[in-house]
Amino acid sequence: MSHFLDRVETALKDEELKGALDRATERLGSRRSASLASLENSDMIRDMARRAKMGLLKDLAGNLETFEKNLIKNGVKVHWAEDGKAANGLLVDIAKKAGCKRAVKSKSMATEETHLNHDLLEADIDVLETDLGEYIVQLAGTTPSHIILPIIHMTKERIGEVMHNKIKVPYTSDPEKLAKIARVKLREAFLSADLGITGANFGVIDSGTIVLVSNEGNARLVTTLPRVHVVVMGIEKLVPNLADLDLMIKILGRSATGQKITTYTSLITGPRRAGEADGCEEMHVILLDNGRSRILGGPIAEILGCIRCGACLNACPVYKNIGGHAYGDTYPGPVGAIVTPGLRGIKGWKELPDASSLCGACREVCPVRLDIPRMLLELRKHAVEEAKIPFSLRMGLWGFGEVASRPWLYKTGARLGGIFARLLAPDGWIKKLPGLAGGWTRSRDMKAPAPKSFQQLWRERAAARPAGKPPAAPTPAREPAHVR
Amino acid sequence: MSGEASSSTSRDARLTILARVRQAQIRAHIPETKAGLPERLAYPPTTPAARRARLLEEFKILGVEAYVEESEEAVRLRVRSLVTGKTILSWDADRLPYGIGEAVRGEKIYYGHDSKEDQGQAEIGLTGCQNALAETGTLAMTSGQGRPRSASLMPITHVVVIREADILQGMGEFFDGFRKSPELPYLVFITGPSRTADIELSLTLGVHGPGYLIVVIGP
Amino acid sequence: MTKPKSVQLFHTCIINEVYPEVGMSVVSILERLGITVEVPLSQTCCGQPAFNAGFHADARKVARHTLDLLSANPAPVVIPSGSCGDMITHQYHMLFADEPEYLAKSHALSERCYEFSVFLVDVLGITDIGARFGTGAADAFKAAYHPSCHLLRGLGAKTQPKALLAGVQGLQCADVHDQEECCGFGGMFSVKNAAISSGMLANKLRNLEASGAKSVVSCDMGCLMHMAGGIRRKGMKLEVKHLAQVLEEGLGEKAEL
Ligand code: SF4
Repeated sequence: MSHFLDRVETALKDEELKGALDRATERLGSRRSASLASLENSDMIRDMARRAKMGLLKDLAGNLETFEKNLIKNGVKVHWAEDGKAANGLLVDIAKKAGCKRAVKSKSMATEETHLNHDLLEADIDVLETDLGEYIVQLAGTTPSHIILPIIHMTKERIGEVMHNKIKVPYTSDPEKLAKIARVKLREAFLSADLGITGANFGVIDSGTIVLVSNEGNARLVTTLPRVHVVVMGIEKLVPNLADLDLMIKILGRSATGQKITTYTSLITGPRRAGEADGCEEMHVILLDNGRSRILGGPIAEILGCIRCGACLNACPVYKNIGGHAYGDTYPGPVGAIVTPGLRGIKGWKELPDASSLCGACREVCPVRLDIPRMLLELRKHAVEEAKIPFSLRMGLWGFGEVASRPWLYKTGARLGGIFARLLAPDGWIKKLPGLAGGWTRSRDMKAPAPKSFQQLWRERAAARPAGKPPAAPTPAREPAHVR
Repeated sequence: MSGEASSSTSRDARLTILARVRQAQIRAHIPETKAGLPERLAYPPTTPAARRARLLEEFKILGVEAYVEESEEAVRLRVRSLVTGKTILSWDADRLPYGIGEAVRGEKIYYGHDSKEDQGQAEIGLTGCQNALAETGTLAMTSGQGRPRSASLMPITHVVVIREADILQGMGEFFDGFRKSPELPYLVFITGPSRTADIELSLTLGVHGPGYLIVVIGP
Repeated sequence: MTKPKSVQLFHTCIINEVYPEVGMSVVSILERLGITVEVPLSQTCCGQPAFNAGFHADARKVARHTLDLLSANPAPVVIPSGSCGDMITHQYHMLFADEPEYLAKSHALSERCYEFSVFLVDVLGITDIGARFGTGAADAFKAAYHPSCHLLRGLGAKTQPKALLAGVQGLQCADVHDQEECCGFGGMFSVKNAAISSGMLANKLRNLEASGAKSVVSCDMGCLMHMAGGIRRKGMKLEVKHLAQVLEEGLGEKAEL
């Protein structure tokens, strides 16, 4: 795969992308704050939601067993997959056994993570994404770039072209018409599908319920019309009970799109019951590990509380500049910078935690208050330990720790550096720096160190002043109006 | 056997994963969370009139067409006027409140037991509803015998009839009703018409589910 | 708490080496308020550059030195930087999570470490020190406040710097679009991820320019140096100032801006 920094350069050159990102993140961000402001006790609700999520991680194994037991009681078949390949294999097996040939899918990050579609097609099972954005992504042969808005990076003109070329409909760029075309096309697919595949927004432990939220209603069709329904969900996507689910629902829609609640929230507790006219006849849940148990054992366990609302993406100035594809995997933005190295291992992904100014905007908006900056720092530390390079070497500063803990050495070094730097910058500013530091002068001049350090000025002042006498305070320009 | 891990690989995976998770959670660094929070969220009491007013307010924001009728007869007339001449996908007559099933007799109606293709022809879905949730403008629908899920999902228009007495304040209150019996039916919370903003953030209604949601509130 | 008579100044590397005049402004404001300023001369760096890059062992060496030095004197510590302040008061806890002795030391010290504006407002209870620009509303000095991320979100000091600016007569705070968004500095981030950082800086400078402000005021010289470098490269007419400089200028003869 291409290198992170190359993907970044490509993204930064894309003016169309930049415009789309600016509009979308701004809109979602302001809607989010407005709708949270209208929720009474929103701070407390977020704290309670965090408590629920963190609490269940403490005995995730026990909770999984209870969840499994309740699913089974509800007539659901439960499967376990150590990794993506295994999950996909289980799904293909289920489909084959049930004689399914045509699958419809609603938006699911877990199956993006396992690259399910590829393995299904390989096994001769047709699969169609049904979320409008995901459908277009599938037609275009690309990947989603935002958790909530998969095609945030595409203009309506490009979408029109894709529809025109791939499903041979007359070209239009009218969003309403495009959506209508999709409705008709996808409705045919729904009616003929025999397998519905979804993720899960939540699994309610004590009732054995799968919760799905969607605005379009496609998740409902996927779970209502086909004969067989398979859920692929990460082992962390649990909530203890319905009262906690209430908390999650209150913050999820608000954080994601600024809606008080997403249009459809489905609670699916087992397959169709006796006397019911619709719903699947056979329901399966595949519980996916794929690196999650490893995350749980390390310093970034907290990320397992993520409810995938996407708010951290919209708040992130880095995401706003580079969009989702630059992150190189299923999960973009700040959450992706933690989850991707967590799931896939730090090797090959250490650029992601580095690509943050640690501004903390993500932590501020996260509905469950995940401390993303802390986790980025943990991953950076981990990357250093793995790679075994001394900081000094990387930074081109000889023995930083040694030097900076020895004041005289440190000062001498800094002063020498200053003298050298001022040689480069007769007017006090450096236009071009060599090596790694050249990144700075790509768009900024660098101020050279001052001829006299603060400590020099301080000592000179002390020397010029008789000992023991405090400096006379000059009279203020006017009387202070308010001194508490 | 129903309800068991399906294959031997999955059974092995189960043991491996649970063992790993168990190992991991011993040394897991789970951050402390804020102390002194209430056990559960309290819903302060409200009056039926306040709940109805709030519900109507939320409906307006969501673009839900709402009618409040004072008598059972008025409800039947309203529903008739909304569905006459259209192909209907309906809950069974005995599952609809206010004798609406009788009132729409004579129209072209499909039911849950008809083929999906036939159901797909319907222009209007006609259903009752277990509860409405005022603070979000939400309809809480359960499904079961004679109450198919498709009626609130497949047609482009969905007409829902609810009783004013069934308006609750919010989801928490609704869930409280299931506290004693954790046996949940299939449930869907519907809040406004189906929508998407996937294409350049422009709002489009009715992309998969109903694009028009009409609620008739009866006495 | 009782108002302290003296403080130790942790002047930060960047003020010591690049912006010594800011350190002098900080001293001048504190002394004007009757505080005796001590400068522990063997201070070096808080260790943040190494810490943020993941080199915790290196960072710990520096942090131990800093903790030992500042703990030796019971006077409160004033830090004219939200970022170094956040490092010492919060990140040291993470750094020393497995070193009980220094963890305790860092907790004790963080109780009496204050960023400059927080010290003035929360400890001394001052929001108006009598600073003034110009003579009336017509020639108000329009300044854009930039809340540095570590001050705003790390230390949670949202109101203090604004209160101090509001206390300056003849200073008008400009409205800045996306005011709380990061300028793209982030220490090594600006070098390692120069392209992204430059994109963020460009947004910030565009918004600052549109605000019509004459100066950008902040409590972190790192961010200000970053913005100043971009301003200079673009040839923009915008000054950068530490809050202490604004206060000092508003108090003294330098008030004609
Ligand atoms: S990390 Fe927090 S803000 Fe980001 S997607 Fe997850 S829950 Fe939402």
